Amino acid sequence: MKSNINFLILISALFIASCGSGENEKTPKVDVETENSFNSEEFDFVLPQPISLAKAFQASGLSYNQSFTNSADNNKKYTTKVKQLLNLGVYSTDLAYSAINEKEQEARAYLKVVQELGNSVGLKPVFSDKKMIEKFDQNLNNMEAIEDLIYDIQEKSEEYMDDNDIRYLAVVQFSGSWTEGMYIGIMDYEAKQNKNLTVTIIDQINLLKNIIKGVKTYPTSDETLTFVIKKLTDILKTYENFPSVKKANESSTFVFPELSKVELSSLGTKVKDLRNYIVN
Amino acid sequence: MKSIKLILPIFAFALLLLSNTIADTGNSLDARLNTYKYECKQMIKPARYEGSRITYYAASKEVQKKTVEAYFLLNTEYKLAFSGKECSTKTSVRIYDSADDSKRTLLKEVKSIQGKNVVVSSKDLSETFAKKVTKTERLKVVYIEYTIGANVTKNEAAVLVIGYTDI
Repeated sequence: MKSNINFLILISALFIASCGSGENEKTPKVDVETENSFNSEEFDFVLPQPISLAKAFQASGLSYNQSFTNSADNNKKYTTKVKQLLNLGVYSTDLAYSAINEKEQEARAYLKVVQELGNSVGLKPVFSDKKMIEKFDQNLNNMEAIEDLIYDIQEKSEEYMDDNDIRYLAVVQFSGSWTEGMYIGIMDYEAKQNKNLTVTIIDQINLLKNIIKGVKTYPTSDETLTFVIKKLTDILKTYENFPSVKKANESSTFVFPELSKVELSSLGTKVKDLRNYIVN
Repeated sequence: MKSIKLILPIFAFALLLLSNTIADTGNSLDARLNTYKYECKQMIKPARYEGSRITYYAASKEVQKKTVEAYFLLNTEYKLAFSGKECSTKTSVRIYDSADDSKRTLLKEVKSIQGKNVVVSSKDLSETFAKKVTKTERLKVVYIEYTIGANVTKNEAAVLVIGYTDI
């Protein structure tokens, strides 16, 4: 049998060789295709989890305000895959934000919509576990166990998307998470003028360059996504052109920018616009 | 004409065999990488899992460089676990605080991860950052640069897993 296979491969190799043009003789086609699909980009990135975004804001003194989150009832409005992905991200941040602030009922409602949207966007192997809500209910008074559950969902989603070469879905989802985190942070800053929050807002803007890069890898053209990329790029460009940021970047030593009230207000307007577009 | 009729099905069959072999090679590489990723996850425990990145590189006679950007959003200890078990040549890891060649500071160097798993703590990186860059700000982003030795003969990859101590 083995010698038969070798014979067939030999015949095929001869056939391939006879079909090749002079130019391609030195480059076996199969090798080139394999090489491309296996080669990572020169610059890559690892984005944090939505719960890390929420925890970073919490550590800066962000308080809980339910009116800042997207109502779980809006879930039914999202009918296209891109809107579902973006709002899966929005709700993942709302879930984390509610859980770390020990708002069990709100977190439960968000877990349900995260599960529904997760199933809708093709992540059934992660979200079809009917016991997910059961596990949540069993741990209602144990926020550490609920956080464990959130970390577990995030890890499984990421693994599923990596294993199935659909990492672009994760970045679109993350762009929704990021926008919601920034929105909540900015709303809280505007309500309380807590200066510590501005540091976290700037930290999270630093994720934007890679978010935009990642979202652009979405394989099909989509009107919503084109608009979201435009808005995200506008936020980044606006931030980079702030005098305080330019001054910090021009320094030869490490300087953290301190945004003025006008700059924060301008940034806030743009983030709110984008968030309203995503959730409506 | 008759011989072409005979060769075509044989050719199609052989091509199928060849593509299956290539697919199997890819699948077994993925399976091994998943094992190394699992090992890295175990090595950073009890840290919370933040994310991972498998950096693939192709056969090459030249030295290759690949960079992965990672964030330390929280003011806590982060763990970076690397697996170079799939690397057939010397693969060094250099961790910098900036992507800009003219401004960056080397925070840590692992001479080679070839054939082994290695864990790096953000505590070490932060200490160097405080000594060499600034004491007023904490380290919030790192640029992990792999330098893959020359003469790699097949598709390979390095694994990175990140986690943090919960706050």
